[in-house]
Amino acid sequence: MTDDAARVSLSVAVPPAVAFEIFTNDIDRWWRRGVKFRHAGRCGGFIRLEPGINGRLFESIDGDAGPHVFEVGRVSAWDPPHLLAFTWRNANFAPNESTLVEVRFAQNGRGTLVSVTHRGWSSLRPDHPARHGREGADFYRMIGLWWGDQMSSLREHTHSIR
Amino acid sequence: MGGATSALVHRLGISDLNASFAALSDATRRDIIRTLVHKPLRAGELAKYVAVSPQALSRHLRVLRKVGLVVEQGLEEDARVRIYSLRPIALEPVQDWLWQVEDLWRRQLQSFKSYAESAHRRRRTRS
Repeated sequence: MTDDAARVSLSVAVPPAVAFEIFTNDIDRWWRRGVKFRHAGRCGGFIRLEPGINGRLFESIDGDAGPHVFEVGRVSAWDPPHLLAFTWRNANFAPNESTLVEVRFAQNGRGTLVSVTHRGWSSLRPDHPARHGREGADFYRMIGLWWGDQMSSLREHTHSIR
Repeated sequence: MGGATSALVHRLGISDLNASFAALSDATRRDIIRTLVHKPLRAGELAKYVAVSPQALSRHLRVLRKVGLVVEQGLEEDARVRIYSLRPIALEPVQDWLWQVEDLWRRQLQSFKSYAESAHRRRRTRS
């Protein structure tokens, strides 16, 4: 833990090229459904990742007035079968707020180690800046400085005193 | 991870988070924390590491104490000697937040694994 990133990896018994292809092309098939994972929640719809740099990751959500689109982010790195990165915004993010998801596919025996790093949480304000005035600005500035620098030792320290 | 993160933000008491982060918006206060990570110190000792006037130091310590990041205690044999120590537990909401994001991704990757492995098997059987 050296920054504000959430990190998860999992070994998958398919070669990297297949893993990359399924991760991107078939995202709607494996991306979990329900309110926790999709903006569509219980509504119908689909999620799609357009291949290549600047491709969109978006959800099309079925509604009474027809489908509407929520863009989660854009592809910022496209290097099959090794690396995929895209920006990530939740529905409640301010226009200038964004996080970054990086997915690495590494050969692991006959399979692939898939590692997800989701970083940039420190750039988010905790609430709408209008409610906080200058405090909001301080929060932005500080948190960016703070995380990269200190989280590591503090987290270790917390573990050791528990 | 649709509404999950926003729900999370509310559940974790973001006002506490905000106060902690605001307290850390200052370079001197971050220096104080960085120094106290290693061990508790007296104000005099702390002043050797953090280059500010005693007045400024005590002002910064007051801010950090207010949000619970630092605690002040008297020395057992001489209560007038004040010892400052870090209370990193005040940053736990931040850690919990990241752990929950990790949990969501872990569940996504598990779902990806089951789908990818069975799709791969099907394709190999066909070819």
